[in-house]
Amino acid sequence: MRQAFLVLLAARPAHGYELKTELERHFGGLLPALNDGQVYTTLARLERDELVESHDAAGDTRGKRIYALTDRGRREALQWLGAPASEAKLKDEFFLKLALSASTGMGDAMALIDAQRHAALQSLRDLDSRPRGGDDTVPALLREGVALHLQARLRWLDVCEERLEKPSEENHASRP
Amino acid sequence: MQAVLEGRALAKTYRSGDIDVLALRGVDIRVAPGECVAVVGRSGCGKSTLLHLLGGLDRATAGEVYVEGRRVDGVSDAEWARLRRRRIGFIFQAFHLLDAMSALDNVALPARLAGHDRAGARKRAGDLLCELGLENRVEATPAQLSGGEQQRVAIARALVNRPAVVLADEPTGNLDTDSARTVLELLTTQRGEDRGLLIVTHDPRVAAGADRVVRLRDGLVVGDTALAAAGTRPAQLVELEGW
Amino acid sequence: MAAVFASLTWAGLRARWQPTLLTIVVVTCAMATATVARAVGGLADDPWQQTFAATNGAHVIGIGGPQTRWQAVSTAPEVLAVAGPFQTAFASLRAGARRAPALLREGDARPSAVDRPLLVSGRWLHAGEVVLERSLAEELGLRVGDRVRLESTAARVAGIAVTSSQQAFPASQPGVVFAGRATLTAVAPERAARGTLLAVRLRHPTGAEAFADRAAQLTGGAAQFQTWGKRRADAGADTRTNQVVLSVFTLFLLLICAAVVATLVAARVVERARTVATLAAIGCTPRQATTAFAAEQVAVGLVGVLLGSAIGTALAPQFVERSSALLNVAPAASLEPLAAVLFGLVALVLIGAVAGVSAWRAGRGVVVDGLRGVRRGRDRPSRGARLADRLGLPPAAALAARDALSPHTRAALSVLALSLTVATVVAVLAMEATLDASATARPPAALPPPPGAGGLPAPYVGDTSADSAARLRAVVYALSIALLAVGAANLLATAILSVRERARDISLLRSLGASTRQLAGVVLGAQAVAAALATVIGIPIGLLAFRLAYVADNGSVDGLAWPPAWQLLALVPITTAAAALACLPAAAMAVRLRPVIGLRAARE
Repeated sequence: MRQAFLVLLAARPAHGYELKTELERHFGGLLPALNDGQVYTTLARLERDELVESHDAAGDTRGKRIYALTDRGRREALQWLGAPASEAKLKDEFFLKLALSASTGMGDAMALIDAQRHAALQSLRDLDSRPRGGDDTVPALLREGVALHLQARLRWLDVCEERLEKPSEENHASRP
Repeated sequence: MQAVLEGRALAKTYRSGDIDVLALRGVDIRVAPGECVAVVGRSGCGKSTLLHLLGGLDRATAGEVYVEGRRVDGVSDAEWARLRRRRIGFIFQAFHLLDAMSALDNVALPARLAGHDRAGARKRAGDLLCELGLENRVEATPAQLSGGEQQRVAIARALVNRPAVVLADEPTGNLDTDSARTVLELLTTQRGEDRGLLIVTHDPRVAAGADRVVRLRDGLVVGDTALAAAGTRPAQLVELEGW
Repeated sequence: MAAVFASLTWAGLRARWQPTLLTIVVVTCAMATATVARAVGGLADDPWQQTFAATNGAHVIGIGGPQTRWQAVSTAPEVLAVAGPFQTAFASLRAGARRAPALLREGDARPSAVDRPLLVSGRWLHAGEVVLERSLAEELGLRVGDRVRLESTAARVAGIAVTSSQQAFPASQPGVVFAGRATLTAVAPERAARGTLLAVRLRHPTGAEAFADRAAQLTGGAAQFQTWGKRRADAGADTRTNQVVLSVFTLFLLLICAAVVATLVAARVVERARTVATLAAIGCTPRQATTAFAAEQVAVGLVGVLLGSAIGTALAPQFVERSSALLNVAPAASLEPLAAVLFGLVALVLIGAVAGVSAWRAGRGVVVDGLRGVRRGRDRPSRGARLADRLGLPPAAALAARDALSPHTRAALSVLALSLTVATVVAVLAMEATLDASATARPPAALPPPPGAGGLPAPYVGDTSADSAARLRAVVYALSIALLAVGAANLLATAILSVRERARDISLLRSLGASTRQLAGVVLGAQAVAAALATVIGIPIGLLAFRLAYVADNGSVDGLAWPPAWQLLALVPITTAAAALACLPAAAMAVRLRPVIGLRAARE
């Protein structure tokens, strides 16, 4: 979230409230709604780190502050934007479960795969059932990314199932 | 509720050179009225064979096929033709439209085979094509249509006689992503209350559009999952790190 | 339902108008050839008998002197009808520089009851005119309107006729000339120089020999009698070779035309196999699809049959005229319109049957195979294909060999048609050899001079066998050219067909980087292999068929000669080259085929 705020402020300075609405507009209903507390906490941390500075709006007595980037903040924002995200990281709770189950023999690896598959299919179905509303918008891009990720997931599940079943077949074959 | 399409213990073996290939080894499958069933699996798992057996395009080595409760696996070619005219509609991966005729005539053909007069058949075909968004392409020949358009024409053709069962064999196999999505949406919305839809596919996204997903491997059913109707689950789909 | 298939058929024909046009052209050629062949072949069927019937020929002919009393003979109870006695005289016929002995026979304006000459050109004679017998006129090169001299009398040729009372000139001399009483009297003024001739028709033709003996007794030995049996045998001997050759040829032609048409029709139907499967998938019964495609072929074939019949009927008289001269027969019944209509119907039935059977076979089996374009049961490469692989040929040649040797109906039919074409060429060669062998002159069989008449004029010596052979050759070669044209059309058509069938494979090869030369090699090579195979099959077929026909007509192999071995061996490279040449257009089509078109074409 930090980086998102930095980039938005790099475009122009804004109120905290404006930042919140803009984020929601950009990402549509795909991300959970932010509450005010999260927004101002993040902004405060950014100020503490001297990436952002704020001042009171002129002529505004309600205490809304306008936030803007410092030079350091601008640099960090652009640097973050320009660098590719790491592709190698895979934070995947399912994989942890599967790996542990397969190696320790605890739990039922096959049943886990089945359940995950059902979950992925269901997610895919829910995703595709939403109204499309313009393929060129950012939410549509994100949705397509999620769908493809789910498809990849389903293919990976097939591979897992196939590979993990093999040892049992080999065991069967080696018995007299 | 009586299934609109059912296969029991279906098996198919064919000879290739010196070896017997067991394409299907005893598969049970049911499609209820109004239900969309996806059959998935890797290449060679037998899913296309299953569809061919259910539609009479191939003969089973063993097992039974029931269409609307009536046993049909051993009936004559002429009777299968009658079934395919009135009760079963087909959609193929390769479209299989007749090159020499316009889209409208292609769609009208099954209606004419079923005995409707030319004008009536063409009107119904025209209405269907409009429903599917092809009102400007009715006089085009298949050579003048894109893949997605051709598949839509094929869908219209499959639906023109209001069949009870629609069998689709890799309907999005030859299409790009966007056309595939259009076709999939059309298929699932055309489902209707009494019509059963069986889609054979290798594309998980297509399978996700179905009510039930049946998985085949090496000629046997290894999974049968029912999917809940979309929208009954909470909206959050994505978690961004650090959010 | 019929309307559906009518519109399906119409759409199919319109979209595929080039193959349709090709079919029409080939069927037209075949039908025209077959029509001519039938007409000529009809003549060869016992030609003398046809003439005999057409002229109401005489079972017994009596030749006597000026004093012979015919009364007893003409009133004998066995006699059904009588013509004559006619006056006769010998004369030397002069036409330009040529001279020939002629027997003048009285013939007035009234057609005689028995043995009436049948005009083939011109009209019957008036005063000062003569009518020549056909073989005499042909030999001397005389036509209606020419002037001739009989001894010192001049006369104009009013017409040319056939008669069964005399065999062909110059094998049989003198030649026959019909003249009026005045001309006869001018040529032979003395009554004693003129003989008499009586033509008799019997109640029971089989008793001709017995009657001839009795009649000789009745006239007290003053006349001689000749029976129709002898005349027939003699006539047959003259024209035997011609008859055999024409019979064999026309039969071959008919067979080839049938095979060519069958090949084409069968191939057309097989091309549409995928359409048949698609129709089955959307609810057409197999029988409906079969009927529709068979009807399509019959419709196309009908156009070809009508055109071909018309062309053939227009051309036939030329051939028939030439052939009837060769066979010494009246050109008649084979040109009847009813026969032509029946023949056309037979052709249509053939087309319909082939189309129906092919469509039925294409629609057999499960639908899914038809959609995929697979022929079940062909999982293993054929023996021929495996042989081709083992030969270690370069890839283009190997593919060509596989294609040519694959055992499917269209390939088999086209090889059959080609081998019959080769067989016909072989038969021509055999005919040539036989004609050369029989070039020895036969002693002319002459009518016996009437007792007491003056001496015969000098016999005519012409280059008999060479002329007759030349005329025979003319007809046979004309028929053969037609046949080779049909054969070439067949080659062209099958080459194009096989390119269309293999469009997908060819496009694939192109996209894999096959060069133009390699692609051309595949197409031409397939045809060349088929041609070589057809030649090897066709040579023995041709020889055997010619021998069989010759023996059947002749009773023995006397006079039969085989073509020399080098000619037969030379056929193989010639046929192969000809086949490759004939399918150059198809090869050009194949290499120009853009890959995407071929791959897309595979969808239908």
